[in-house]
Amino acid sequence: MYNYYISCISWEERTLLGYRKSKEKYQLEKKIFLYFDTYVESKLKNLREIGNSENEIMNLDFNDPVGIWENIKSRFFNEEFRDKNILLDISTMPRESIWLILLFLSEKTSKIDFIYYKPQTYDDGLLCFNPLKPRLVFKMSGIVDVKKPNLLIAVAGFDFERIDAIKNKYEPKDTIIFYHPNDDYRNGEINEKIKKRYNLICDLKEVNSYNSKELFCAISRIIDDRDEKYYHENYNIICASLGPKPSAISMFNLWKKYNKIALCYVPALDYNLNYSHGIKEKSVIGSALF
Amino acid sequence: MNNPFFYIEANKLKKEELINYFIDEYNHNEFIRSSKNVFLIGERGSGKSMVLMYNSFPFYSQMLKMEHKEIDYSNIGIYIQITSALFDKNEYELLKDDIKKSLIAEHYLVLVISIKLIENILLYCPEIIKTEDLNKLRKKLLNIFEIDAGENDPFEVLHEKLMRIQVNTQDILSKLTDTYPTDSLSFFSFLIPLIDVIKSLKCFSDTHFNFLIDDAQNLNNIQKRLLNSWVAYRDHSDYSLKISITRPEEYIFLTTTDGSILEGHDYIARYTEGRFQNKLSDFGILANKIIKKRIELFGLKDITPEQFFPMNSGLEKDLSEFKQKVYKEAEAIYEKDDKKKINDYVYKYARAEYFRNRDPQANKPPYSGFEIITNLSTGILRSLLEPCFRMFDRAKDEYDILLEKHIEPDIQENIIQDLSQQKWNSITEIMPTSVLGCTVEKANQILQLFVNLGDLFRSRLLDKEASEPRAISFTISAIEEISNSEKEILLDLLRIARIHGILFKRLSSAKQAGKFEVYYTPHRMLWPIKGLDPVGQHARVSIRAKLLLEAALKNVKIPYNRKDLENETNNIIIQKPLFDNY
Repeated sequence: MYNYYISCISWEERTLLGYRKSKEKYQLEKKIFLYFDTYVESKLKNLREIGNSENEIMNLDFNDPVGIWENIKSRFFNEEFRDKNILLDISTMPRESIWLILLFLSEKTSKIDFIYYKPQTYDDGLLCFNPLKPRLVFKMSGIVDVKKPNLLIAVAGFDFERIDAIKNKYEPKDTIIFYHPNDDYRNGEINEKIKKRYNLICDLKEVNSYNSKELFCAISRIIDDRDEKYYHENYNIICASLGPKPSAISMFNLWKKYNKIALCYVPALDYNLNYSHGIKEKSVIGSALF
Repeated sequence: MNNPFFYIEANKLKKEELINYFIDEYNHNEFIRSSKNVFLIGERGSGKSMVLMYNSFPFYSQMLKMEHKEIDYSNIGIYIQITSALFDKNEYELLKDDIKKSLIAEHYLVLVISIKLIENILLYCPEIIKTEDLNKLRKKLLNIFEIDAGENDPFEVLHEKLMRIQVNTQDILSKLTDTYPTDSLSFFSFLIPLIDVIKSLKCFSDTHFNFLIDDAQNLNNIQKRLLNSWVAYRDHSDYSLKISITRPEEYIFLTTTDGSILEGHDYIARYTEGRFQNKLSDFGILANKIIKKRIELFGLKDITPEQFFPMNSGLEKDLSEFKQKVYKEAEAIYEKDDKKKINDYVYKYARAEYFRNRDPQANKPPYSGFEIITNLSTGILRSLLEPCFRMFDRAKDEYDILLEKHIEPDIQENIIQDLSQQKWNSITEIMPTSVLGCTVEKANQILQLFVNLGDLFRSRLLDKEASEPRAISFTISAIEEISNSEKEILLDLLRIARIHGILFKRLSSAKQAGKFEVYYTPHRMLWPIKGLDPVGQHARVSIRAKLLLEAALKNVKIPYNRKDLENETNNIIIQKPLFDNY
């Protein structure tokens, strides 16, 4: 049973299908949905189904990071959530929002689970375009030492080129890119492109990016070792989740463990509305706090 | 085997590497080491960071040591790179008070500059600091900044204090509650007095502190204005600012009080690309020096770049034959003694003749040879080194390069074709996800524009009667024919192409005396796929804005009508070639 279910209304079928599945499988008391004011027409169907008196809709302006912060803080940094059970559906939620919600809720309760519904199928095109400048997340921008070089740790996904935007901005001395193993044709193709593009200039590592704990441990092992090149005291570490959404959970926990780490968000203005279809039977679910 | 043509960012090079690899062909050093404020302007990969780092004190003093010269403390360069995540920390945006926001933004900038200043003194100047200087500094730190160093090294104490402030500020601002640090530093309340204090010490009384600020376009707007206010600050006898930016459009030249800083008056502008493009410079000489040095460091002392990257023998023979043929044509047209006219004619038409006489069914020309590699770089150092790096990388898997002392032409050709294809692919595959403001639609429009430009250049190349057949740059004419909104659309597409690095905007003198004109050069690495001559010639095709827009938005071919172009020959300037030694 969950006292709160928190999700985000998108145009994707996963929004509604995921909500229905979660309602079916788990007892959900109160439901809160983030709603960003982009692609309004495309989101209308889902909004109509979800926007009723039993569900709370939080309106957010995608182009106003300060406004997003203030609204999320005002709603979730609240005694109302003290010791409550939370189910956070991250399937269609922007990563920055995932991190901010976890930031505030984790101050009130440790009982936060996340759930991620994979699409049944993907479109072949890119997921998003027209990137805005990468930005560090408010209050999760780490403690920077100007004497130290930057280390970028990125989890790559279908639109791995967004890694270039981060590299250009922060010019890291070193970059580690984690990518998911070839478990379907699309992954295989993408991984070949990642290797071709970054093989000579970055450290590439394969990890199950849908398993947030496994990813968290893989990264921790690398940066915990005092004798190893990437020891966290030697760098200003910037983490970016650009791959499967559960990697955002890993990154949040990394920040909690080493709060000198900075979390970086790369928003985009345009999305492929046909990017995903349907929902897989099996979801990824786990504790959001390690 | 280490690849000598690596092209990593300057900040990843070791000191000895940077010193060994750096070549200051165009005397930027003289300006960087002067007491004037300088803006160093150039696209990514054009060598700005290398110029600044070379002139920073750690590198400069190392160079003097390597040359067994005495270290000169009269000019101390403090290198500050604005890619630190510190400059991107934006918690101050959550503050309601605009004044507090501005104070925090200034605080970070002053903090970084101060830390780097003290760090450089601590690490690289201990031998000139005497006991009397330390005693004087202790007193001044206490009286002016209320920092009690006791018996400790006051520079160390100051450094520690600044590091603590660095952590504390970030710590306070990272709290979930609305807290604000009370010990923020500012230019006038801290940095200027700090420089005054350091200058009052005998050891630094004759020192000019040179703040080398790299990638200032990454600062936020508040910080840019603050920096400009310091540029405008009249007295720069004790310190000056050398600021690198990618493009003027990505920076603002206003101060905190909305005043402007003026070139010539407040600062000097130096261009790391533009210097390759005017008739007094020759990028070919610089490229030759850079590559020769890299070949030498690899272990081949007497091999020239032309020998290391030889041209395909068939191509070389054909080009030579056509040059002779065209020379004879020129002799028939002009007086035999009129060498200049004959040479100009050969320069214009010889290479074009080779391309015209190729069988349309034949493969692309076997692009190879150092001259072609140099031209493909379009005057960008990184674009010079990358193909060389990849060629070396491929060759080393096939044979012993030290033994063979060259890179096979067919390897060069394959890499060039690969890179050319990648450049085209990047327009639709990478640009929309890496350039702000680039939608998929705009990427397709830019692709259409460049395809049509390539077709236009090719039509001209193959036209025996065209007066400047190898022109591969363009100017925009008749801009008044399109509306303001259309102009914005066109300029936005060109802006995106520039940010992505496939188009360069340059300034050159127009035929009309005293005038300047803007011209655009697509990255020459695009042209091998189109079978064009990347060597090009330094003339520009004037294209009406309306035609460029139609090419981009509607994929309409840019019409090639020799009569139209002949009418526009006034706009075509013939200048000293970019890379040839005419």
